[in-house]
Amino acid sequence: MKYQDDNFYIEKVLNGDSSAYAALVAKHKNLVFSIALKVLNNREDAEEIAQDAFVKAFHSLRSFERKSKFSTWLYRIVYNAAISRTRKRVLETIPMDNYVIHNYSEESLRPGVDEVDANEQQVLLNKAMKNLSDEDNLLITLFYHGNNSIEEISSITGLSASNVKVKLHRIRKKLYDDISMMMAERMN
Amino acid sequence: MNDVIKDDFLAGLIKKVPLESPSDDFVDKVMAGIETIPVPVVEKQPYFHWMRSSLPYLGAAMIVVLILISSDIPYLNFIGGKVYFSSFFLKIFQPFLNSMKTLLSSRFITYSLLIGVSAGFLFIIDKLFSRRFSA
Repeated sequence: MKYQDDNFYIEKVLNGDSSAYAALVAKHKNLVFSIALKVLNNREDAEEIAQDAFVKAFHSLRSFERKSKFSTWLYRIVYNAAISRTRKRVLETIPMDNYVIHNYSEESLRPGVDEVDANEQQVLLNKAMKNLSDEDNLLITLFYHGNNSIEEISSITGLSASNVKVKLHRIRKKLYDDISMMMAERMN
Repeated sequence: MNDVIKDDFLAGLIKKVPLESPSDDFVDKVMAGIETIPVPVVEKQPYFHWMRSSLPYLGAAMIVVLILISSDIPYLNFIGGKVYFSSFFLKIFQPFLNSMKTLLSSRFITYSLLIGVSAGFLFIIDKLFSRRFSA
């Protein structure tokens, strides 16, 4: 289904057409649910939190100042709600000074990955993503699936922008490493 | 580290991995949990709103002034313009003020009235403010 811009539905809802909110829910439900699931690791809890987040967003819609994207605002609501549920800080800050960024060449990894067909790439990536922590998967979801910028992810998670960058860089490297390793195993 | 943003290859791969989906009736459940947001009714401001809202203050102030003028509290003698009030203004209201003077000659009544007027004044202010900020 092709959706309109979020503001289109928001205006409708604010003008009294509550049914327009269903489109916003349908549009964002998968990502909102995925965020909750990554934090909570339990489908029932994640669904409940995702529902509550949508209801809360609906009732707060009038106070949404549109300084950020609706999706960013919504993801922050569900993320905070999920974090409150777990009562723990999922994402720990990594001090930049302690973090060692390995030098690696994407070009050295990519040709190997390019050689296998799309289905095989998918299988490899799925396996590599399963090796990531829930926190890393959450960042991947926000960055790649949600198309959120570094600053938006920073706003959603409360991490500093530089920290998000470091984490994404590390995740990316780990994915390439794991995929390369799996490919090497297949070759042997 | 800017290449994180430019990584189209990995982005393309990751986007092929489908997101987790909630239950099929998720949207219905959410919609069942929400109520219609009432469209705000634009309240028409009275043309002389400021004047209307200041009337209680003016009325209360007038009563206090009348009580003070008609009372025999000594410090009022030093207020400039008292002579003017005595010679012009007070003549008009003389009958009313005479009766007031008789009434207010008792300290008990004077202080009771002052307390009553003050309390009433505070009550009006409270009403006005609570109405203004609860909207």
